[in-house]
Amino acid sequence: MDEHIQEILLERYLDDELSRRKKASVAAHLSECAVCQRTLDRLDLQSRILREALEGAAERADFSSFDEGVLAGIASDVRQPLIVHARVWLGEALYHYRAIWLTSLVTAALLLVLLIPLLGRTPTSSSGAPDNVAGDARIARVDNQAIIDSMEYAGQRSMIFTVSKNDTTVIWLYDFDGTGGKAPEGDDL
Amino acid sequence: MTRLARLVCMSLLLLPGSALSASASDSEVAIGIRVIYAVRDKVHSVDPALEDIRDELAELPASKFRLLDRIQSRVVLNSSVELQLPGSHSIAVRFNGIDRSSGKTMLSLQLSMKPALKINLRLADGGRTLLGGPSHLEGKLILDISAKLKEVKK
Repeated sequence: MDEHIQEILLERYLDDELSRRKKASVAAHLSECAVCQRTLDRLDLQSRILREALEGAAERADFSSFDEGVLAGIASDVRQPLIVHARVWLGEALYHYRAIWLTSLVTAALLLVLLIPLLGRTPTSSSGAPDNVAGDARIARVDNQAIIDSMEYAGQRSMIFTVSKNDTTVIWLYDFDGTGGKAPEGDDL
Repeated sequence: MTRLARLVCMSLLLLPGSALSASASDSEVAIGIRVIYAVRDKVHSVDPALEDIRDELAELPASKFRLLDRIQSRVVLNSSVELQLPGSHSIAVRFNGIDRSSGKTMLSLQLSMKPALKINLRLADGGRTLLGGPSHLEGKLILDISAKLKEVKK
């Protein structure tokens, strides 16, 4: 035999950790190689000696107060800070309930997308009145923003201004009566 | 992800689409027009029917305000409300659509006072604008134009 089996492989063979195919291959080699067989016997002997020594030590040990010792050790253990408990709890919760967390996050994101435009809308009256249109003798804070996209005016003088208290846009036409062929009569109030 | 969670996610993803699908063609707008007579007088007085716009009127160059006429009507897309004014003038307010590009609802309106004026503007839902100028008796006419969206449920 030119090549011998490595010791690590023989140890795994002894511990029955090899695949069925590898185990058969090693067994076939051992049946023909006296060197490897001797190595295997040596490893087996070492293993048995070690096991017997450990078992003997375990038998001599006193386990009569083992449970009490463990409990006393737990009781005297230093209390972990709250942040450590929270981190452990959060880690476990995130892992075990990840489907629920994910669904909740998606739900919250979608609700935000829906609610932000709604919150930006003009508040409506709680009086149950149908409209906030002209004629309602109610004082309510409303959004009066107006954007003038285009203006065609036949006159020459007009003014657009905003009432400071509630942003109402006022369009004032100074010479409106002069645009229809009539002579202007007292433009200004 | 469980089947239930997947179902919930799908439902929530479809929700915004259905909420925003209501277009201007499905909507009505309540348009109000009030015709106000404004004149300079020794005594400052505001018609009780105009109490809701007292702040606006206070900044105009007049001291006496009286409500002459009013109209309130619901209109659909591309239709208008028209009101005859004292004299030979009239005012028409046309609903041209809804603009939500800025994040809030703006109503697109066209104001026409024949034959001199045509204004295209976007007014905040529930808001108002004042238009003044035509002469009347010893003073001026002021038009209070307001609009509020009324979603039509199918």
